[in-house]
Amino acid sequence: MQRRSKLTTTLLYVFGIIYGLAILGPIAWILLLALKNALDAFAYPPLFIFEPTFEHFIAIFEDPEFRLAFSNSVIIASGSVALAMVFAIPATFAITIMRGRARRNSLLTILLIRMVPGMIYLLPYFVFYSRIDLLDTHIGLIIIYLIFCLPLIVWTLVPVWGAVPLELRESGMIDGASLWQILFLIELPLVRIGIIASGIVAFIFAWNEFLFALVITRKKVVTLPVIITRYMGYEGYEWGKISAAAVIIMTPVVVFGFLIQRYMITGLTAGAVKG
Amino acid sequence: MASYQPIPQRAYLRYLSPSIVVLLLLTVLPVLFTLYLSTSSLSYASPRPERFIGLRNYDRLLDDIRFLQSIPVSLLFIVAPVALQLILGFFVAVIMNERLPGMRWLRYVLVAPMVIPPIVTGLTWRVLFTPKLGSVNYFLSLIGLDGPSWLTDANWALVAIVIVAVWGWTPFVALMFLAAMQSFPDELYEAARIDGGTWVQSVRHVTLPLLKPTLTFIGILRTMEALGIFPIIYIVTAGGPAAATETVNFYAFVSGFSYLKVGYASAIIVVFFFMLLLIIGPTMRFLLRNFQVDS
Repeated sequence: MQRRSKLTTTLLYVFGIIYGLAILGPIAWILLLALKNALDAFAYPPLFIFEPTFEHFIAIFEDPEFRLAFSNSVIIASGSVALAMVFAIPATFAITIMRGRARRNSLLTILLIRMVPGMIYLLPYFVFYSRIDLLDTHIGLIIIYLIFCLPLIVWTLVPVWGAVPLELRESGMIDGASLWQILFLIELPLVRIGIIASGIVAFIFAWNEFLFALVITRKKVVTLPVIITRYMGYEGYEWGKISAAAVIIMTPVVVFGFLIQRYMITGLTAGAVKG
Repeated sequence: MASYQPIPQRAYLRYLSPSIVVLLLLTVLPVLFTLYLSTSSLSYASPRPERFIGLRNYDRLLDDIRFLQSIPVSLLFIVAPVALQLILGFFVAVIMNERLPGMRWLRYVLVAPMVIPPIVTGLTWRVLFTPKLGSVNYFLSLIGLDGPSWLTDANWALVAIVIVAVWGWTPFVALMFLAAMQSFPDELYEAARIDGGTWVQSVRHVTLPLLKPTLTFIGILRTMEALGIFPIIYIVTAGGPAAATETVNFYAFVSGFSYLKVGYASAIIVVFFFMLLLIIGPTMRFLLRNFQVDS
């Protein structure tokens, strides 16, 4: 690395710190708002030191609709990951042995499908689901999320699985194991970190998804991102409750994100772009 | 032992094909269904049964000012945020690539906007832009600026959405750039140093050119996602004021789910799909030429 001048180094620090604060600031603000009572929330200039209250968190957890949404989100996100894994694990197993054009085309097809905006699929699913009675069901949403979770898992898993030597398969065959046995008994245990990481990536997607959840759910399977918009109801906005709900929704994904931050972008960097 | 044969690649087909088949079924069928719906009069607001009306929905689109207005908004919400994300992301990546002592926390901070639900990102900024409750204008007043009424002024509402999009997706861009930078060969920087180049010159003449393919790739990914921007608009401005921040896909949503005109909304989606194809076409050509997936 080149020697930087003192001035450059200082500028890098200043810019980096300002940027970091710009990212943290809004998150901190919503956190503070969730802990303020109604009076403090509207104080001007804004209060940075105040008596924190947990009334909003308590109110939210006492709200049966919020509790239902919480369990719906857990069911739908876990269900989406589970269903997507059923397809993604064998697919990744196959892709890791493919070379050249076949490998590239499979990966690009899968990537492209995931990049298409959900709005393209929204109306037809709504109309179709209303005809076959899948609106407001867990499985209805889980099936749609497969479109996004499957590619996410494959892309995160391929680089991890790619590190497993292919000779394992040859020697497994020599020992008389079938491909399924090699997949489940030999290789799957070796890539379990990748399974966990890719599962979390897909979980985060399903947990956060808003567009389909908004349209496909009504009452029974409303998820967290949808319930939070309901607090912006007719009787004015209940900002305390909204902020508290926001904090509760983002906490698990932020924790997950920290845990797997190393894997979160490997999926896309693995297919290196030629210079 | 003698009967052992290497596994033919073909044997793996049945491991991969279920995924490909399921993905194509779940995506191609809805697109075809949308094409069909776009030629129907289906509307949940009307008691009349749906019937085939040919291209009349498309015909009506051409006279729909609200639709015509949404196209430039969509373009603005692609060009402005993506350009800013790439520029800002580049600088942030350069900073992190320097591994400055005491700056490791930045890596962790960047993860937050990537995983926070877009709806929460939108809510947070909605709060921040709200007078009294939020802080944007308070902090502006500290440096002597009189903040605008962000969400009720058409132009500032557009700016507000761009700000939120830049806040939310620059970290992803920065981390992707950083990952690429870390793979750049040291020898090139070494050579630049021996030639007496300054640090700024090495960033300009070594890092930037090496990053170009990644820059293009990430630019394309971000463009496709920017076209689909939804939760942020829904929660921060709800398309307002007076439809000023309504993108094509947002207007399709409003037509389909607020006005319940499913046939008409489908026609908008078809137009939206063609906008997407305009991006995907060159994307595929670029990826097929430059994408290397063999490790």
